[in-house]
Parts: sequence; C-alpha cells; structure tokens
Amino acid sequence: MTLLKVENIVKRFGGVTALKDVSIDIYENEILGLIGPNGSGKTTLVNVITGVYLPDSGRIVYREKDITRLPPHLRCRMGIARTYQVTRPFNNLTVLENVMVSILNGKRYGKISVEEAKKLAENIIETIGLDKFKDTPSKSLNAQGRKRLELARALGSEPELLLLDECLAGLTPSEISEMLDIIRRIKNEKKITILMIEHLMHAVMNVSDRIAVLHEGVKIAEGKPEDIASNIKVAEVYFGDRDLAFKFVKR
Amino acid sequence: MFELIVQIVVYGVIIGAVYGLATMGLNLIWGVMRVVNFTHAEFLTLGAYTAYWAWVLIGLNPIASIPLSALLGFVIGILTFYTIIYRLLFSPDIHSTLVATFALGIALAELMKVLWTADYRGVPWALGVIKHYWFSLPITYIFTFISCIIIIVIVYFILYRTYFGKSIRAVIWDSGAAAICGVNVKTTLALGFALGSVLAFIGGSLIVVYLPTGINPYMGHIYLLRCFVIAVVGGLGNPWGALIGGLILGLLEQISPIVLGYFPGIEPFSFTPFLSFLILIIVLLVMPEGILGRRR
Amino acid sequence: MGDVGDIMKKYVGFILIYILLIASSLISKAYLEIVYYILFLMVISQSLNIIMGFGGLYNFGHAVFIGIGAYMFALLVVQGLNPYLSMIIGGIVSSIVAFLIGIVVLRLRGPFFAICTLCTVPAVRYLIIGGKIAGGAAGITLFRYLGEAYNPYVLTYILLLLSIAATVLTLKLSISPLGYSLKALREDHDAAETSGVNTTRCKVIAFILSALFPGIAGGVVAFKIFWVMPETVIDLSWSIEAILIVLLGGSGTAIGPIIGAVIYEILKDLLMRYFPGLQLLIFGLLVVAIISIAPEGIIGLLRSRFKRLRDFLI
Repeated sequence: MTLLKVENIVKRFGGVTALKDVSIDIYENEILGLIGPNGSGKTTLVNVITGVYLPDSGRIVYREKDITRLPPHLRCRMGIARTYQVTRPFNNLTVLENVMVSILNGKRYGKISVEEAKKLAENIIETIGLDKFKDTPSKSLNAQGRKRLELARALGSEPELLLLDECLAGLTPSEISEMLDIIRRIKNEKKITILMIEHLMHAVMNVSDRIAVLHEGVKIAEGKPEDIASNIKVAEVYFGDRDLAFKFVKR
Repeated sequence: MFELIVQIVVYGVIIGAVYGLATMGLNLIWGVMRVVNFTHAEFLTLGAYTAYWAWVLIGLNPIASIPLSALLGFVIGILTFYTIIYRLLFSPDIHSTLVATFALGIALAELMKVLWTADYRGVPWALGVIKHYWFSLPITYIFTFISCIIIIVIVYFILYRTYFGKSIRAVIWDSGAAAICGVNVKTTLALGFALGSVLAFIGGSLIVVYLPTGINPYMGHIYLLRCFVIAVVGGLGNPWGALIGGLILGLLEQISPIVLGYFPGIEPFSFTPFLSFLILIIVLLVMPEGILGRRR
Repeated sequence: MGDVGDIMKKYVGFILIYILLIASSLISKAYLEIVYYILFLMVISQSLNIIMGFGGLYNFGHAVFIGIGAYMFALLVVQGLNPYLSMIIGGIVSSIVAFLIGIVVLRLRGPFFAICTLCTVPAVRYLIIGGKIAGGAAGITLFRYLGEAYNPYVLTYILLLLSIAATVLTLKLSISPLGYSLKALREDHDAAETSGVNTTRCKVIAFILSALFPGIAGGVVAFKIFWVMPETVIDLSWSIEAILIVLLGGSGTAIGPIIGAVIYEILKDLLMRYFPGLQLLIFGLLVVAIISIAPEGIIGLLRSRFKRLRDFLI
C-alpha cells in the first residue's frame, strides 16, 4: 500500500529550480533509500514533504489525503517525522525534555499528561541508548549523541513515516553499525516506514528495500538496490565505477 | 493648489534627506554586523546637544558644528563598540545586543537628563526666508540640505573609493569570505559601528535646524519610531535605503497632516507617526527586506 | 512523605521572599514604597517571563500592556465603576489587545519582532494623542473619583496578590505541555514545528497570558498616580526593567523574576543613594555583565554552582 505519494513536485528558489517535477511513491513498511550527489535536492524534498517549504506546483498525498498545504505541525501529528541533516536539538533542554516535546505534540497531542510523556520518553531514550544522558542539556552532547537524539525525538511523535536526513554522517564505523541496528529494529518492532537520505553507499544499499536517485532536482532512477547499482545513468552520475557498486551489494 | 504641492515636495525632500542621513548609520550597522542599534536615537540626541552646546558656548551654527559632532560620534562609537558590542557579537543569544543597546540608550537619556535637565532647548539659528513664486523656504534649511548632500557624497566616497569602504562592503556581503581575503574583520566592524554612530551624531546636529525649540533628553523617542520606519522601509542592510526611506517619510510627514486635517476627530501631527507605524508593520510583514534590501 | 518534602522545597523560596516583603511593608511608609515598586516589578517581569523567558520572544513593548490597563481603568472609573473591578477589566482588555497585536506581530522573528514591539510604545502614545482618545495628550484625571478611596497598603497588597498569581501561573506553565512547547520553539522554531508544536498558537496564547497581569497592574498604577496620560502610563523604562529582571533572575524559571526584582530594586536604591545620577550608567554596565557572564541569570549561576540548591530554585 502506498503510504506517501510525491506527485510532480516543483520547487524553485529564486533562479534555481531545486526540484523539477519529482514524483516518488513510498510504500508502507519499506525502507526507501534516497541518494544523489550533493545539491541534488534530497533535503529540499524532505522539507517539502514535512511542510517546511511549500512547493511551487505538485502535490503531496499521505494516506489518500492531500497534505500539500498542511502546516508542518499537523503533518507531524498525522504521522510524518523527520531528523535534520545538521542536528537541531532544543539546545537548552535536556535530552529527556527534547523527546518529551515531540511526545506531547505528536500523535498523542492533547491526550497525554506530562508525567506519562516523561515515562514514554524514558523508554525511547533507553531504546536509543541515551539513558546515561537523560538529564544532560542537549547542547553538551557529542556528535553521536546528537544524531541519536534526533532519532529519539523523531520517534517521540510516534510516526508512521520517518524521514532520516543523513543520520549517519559524522559517525565512526562502529557508531554507524550501531545506528543501523537501531534503525532496523525500529522498522521491525514499530512497523515504521522509513525514507533514508544517505551518502554511505554500503549502508544504504544494505538497509534499503528500494532506492531512488536524485540528480539536479530530477529523479533519474528508482528500483531495487541491485538494479540501481547496475543502472548506467546512476553510474555515470554518481558511482563512476559500476564494479565497485556491485561489490557493495554483494556484501 | 500647485503651490501647496510644490511646498510639500520641497519640504518633504529637504527634511527627508536629513532624516535619511540620520538613519543611514542604523542601516549600515545592521548591514555590517547584523546588530540593531537601539541606542541610535540617543546618539541622535547627543548630536543635537552637541550642536546646542556648540552654539551656546562657541557660537557655532549647527552646520559648522558638524566636524565636532563627527568627532564625538566617532569616539563614542568606538567606545561603545569595544566595551559592549564586541563582547556580545558572538553570544549564542541573538538578543544580547538588542537588550544591551536598549539599556545603554535609556541610560544615556537619563544621564542627559541629569547633566542638562529635561528643559527644552533650542538653537535659534535663522537667516531669513527665501520666497519663491511657489514656495517659501528658510535659508537655513537650504544650507542644511546642501551639507546633507555633501556628507552623503563623502560617505559614498568612503564606501566606494577607500580600502576601508571596500572592506565594509565586503563584510556586509559576506564576513567569512572577507576575512579569508585578508580583511581585518574586527577593525572593520569597529570602524563600521563608529561610522554609523558618526552619521547619527551628524544627523542629530542637522535635525536641530528643523527643531528650533525641541531639544531635550527624550527627543530620542520621537526619532526611534521615525528611524526604524525609515530603516526598514528602505532596506535594513543598505545605507542608501535609508535615504529612500527618509525621502518617503519626509514626504509622508508633509502630506499626511493635510489629508488628516479633514478628519475632525484627529490631531493630524500626532496621528502621522502612528500611520508611519502601520506602514512599518505592513512592510515587516510583506517585504521585510525593504526596498533596497537583499531579497531572501 | 518525601513528596510533601519536595513540595515544601519548591515553594520555600517564594514563601520566604513574600513573608519578607510583607514584613518590610509594615515598617514604614518609605519601606512601603519600596515594597510597592518591587512587587510591581515582579508582576511585570514574571508576566514578561512567559513570552520572553519561555517563548524566547523579546517583547520590548511590554510597557504598552500596562498603559492599556491604566487607560481602561481610568475610563471605567470615570463612568462610576468600582475601581477594583475596573482593574480586572483593564487586565482582560489588555489581553484582548495582546491577541489582536499578537496575531500580526508574532509572525516576525528575532530582531524584527524586537523592532516592531519597541515601536509600539511610541506608536500607541501617538495613537492616543493623535486620535484624541481618552483625553488625548491631556489624559484623564482621577482625583474626583478616587481621592478618598486611596490607600497605599491596599494597592501594595493587590500587587502582592498579582505577583503570587503570576508566579503560580508560571509554575504551572513550567510543568505543562504548553511550557515545553514554548521552550522548544524558543530553541528552534522549525524543529519545533516538525515535532508537532503549533508554534503560532503557542506564541499567541503566551502573549495573551503575558498581558493579563500587567493590564491589572496598570490599573494599580493609575490609581496611585491619579492622572493617566500617555507619558506617565506608557513608559519605555518599564519595558527595559522587566527585560533586565528576567535576564538577571533567570529566563524561563519561576523564581528568577522574583529574586531578580528584589535584587534589582535594592541595587537601584542603593546606587541612587550613594551615586545619584550614575545609577543608570552602572545599570547599563550591569546589563552587559549579565549577558556576557551569566546569560542564565542568577538562578542559572546558582543552579550550576550549588547543585543541592537545585530543588529550591525552579
């Protein structure tokens, strides 16, 4: 079942067209990888989906409902959550308070008390592995902590669709595999659909069910990881070396 | 009717030019370091008092006291920058400079009250009036306007023909890139702030010509609103925007009382500033970068 | 039993300060004046704390709410309405005006919000004078209507009640969903939105709440000075004092403005006595000092230095 339809989205900034007639379907319970060179429009697309930007034309349809003009906070309450590429924690709030914000304002908005939200937040924080830092101000966290906090906070609103924007950037290899474990667990336990923007090829190839490729605002390919890896257009634009791509997939 | 229009336009331009000059500093400081200088109005007031004391003590007319105002403005600008502004430029809270300059402004106003009392003072400099077919204009206004133009030209030269000016424009555009090109950003910021404050002081001195009796410690309040309307309408980051904004406001202040005079329940000269406030809000909502500001 | 202990800890600071204030007010007329002004400052800064401390929006025009309350008070009293009822209505009208101003002005961010709110102070004055509203520049005199009812003790204790009410509101806010949402949007507006926070609604509610108590306090001020004029009841220095005290005490905490107001007023009084005229320059330096050294205010400093005091300082 299609959870989210991106239909013919065009987004311009002054003279630059960041997204040129992009259409993508995201199916329920899948992990869709979104790759492409820097500046290809991946984050812009996420911003349009979450409502931070309004498109110049096109539609975003979530569970059969047109949400193109819906404000961001309502999209969050409907079940769309995201992390930011450059982490944006609520600096002077503790880790716990950060997660409580999205719990109080997400799916359970108006239906949950502060004490219950606190307990739920503690659970999420434990799952993500940040319980040691529960009461530290989030501005004091290191890179890995921040990335995990982004994820924890996004989970707080109990999303059905999770948009991860380069959640592995800046992490060491062991941190990366920990994060990937967490992501796989989230997908399986909570039945969350994930769109993952990522540059790390081996990560995205291994974890994704399908992959879409953006280049200069245009979707140039979409399909299974193996197909993408053997796609001539993608290779020209991105990999430069088809054999290398195959090796990643085999692994 | 025709005479009225000419009178309005002439007065509007002449007074508007000085308003613009007085506000250029505000736009410049914002452009260079993204600081809203809430002390601006008090710098204007200090400039006005400089002209007053120059008149009373040395017999200088407001135009002749410009160099004195400029010097004082420079000193106070540099002092303010190094003691207060520089420390707060890099604080994580963007409101630090706002609060600090606001507090400084109030402190300066009270200081002036203590030093010079709240009495209204004036510089009764009059040289007669020119009567033309269509309008009459005090000669002092003409001299003020001319000095205003001269100063604007000087500022133009500074900004476009000197190294300092180029570094200011570079920092306005992109301070990081400027630093990489070897611009000493800290000094540029300091001098930029000082230039802004010099312009405010000079503006204050010249405004005295239009206010024969109105100098007092709290005159800043009136100019607070005026200057922000001018700065925002013209475009905060651009000093020339202040001139455009000044002209617009100058004309508005001439036209509006006449139009408002037809409404019996309104006191036209006091209602006009409120109108300018409405314009401020509309511009902030619809076109916050102003007329000459950078489009986002 | 531990719970009762916790609760007591939370409120001990407040209770101590209020008892101290009440006691001082009974010492002499001079002390009464000081306590009056301290309580006034508490009310306006605690209420500003809601929008500025929690919401991160520096409302430089906070003084306008006081003025609106004062004018409503005067207009109603002149019509024969009971002064205390007039004060309350003044507060309500102030909140309504806050709503109307807020839906327009709260869309602005950072410095633009500051500029706009700062300009509302002269703008409202000009509106009153220019629109010849409520007596225009001449204002409204209240001697005839209130002369006999004037009692400085009553006015001071009204401010005491207001201060307690504002503090209770702030305490409730700090443990409410709205409080968390406000703090989130203060830290990062967009991230708050994508986390589900309806930033517009939260800001507007906070703004309305922040106007209620200054509105009522405006009535108290009008009662005290007997002559409501644009210059006397719409005073820019109230804005800066409120902002200063919030910063001095500690943004976003409930006890911050309380302690801040006390320290500020005492400092100001001492300076006036020993360095007359200089107090405002020193005051300007104080602002800079606070902002650069202790951006979290005195409460922030105390909380990080003395961890055991944390429970007492919320």
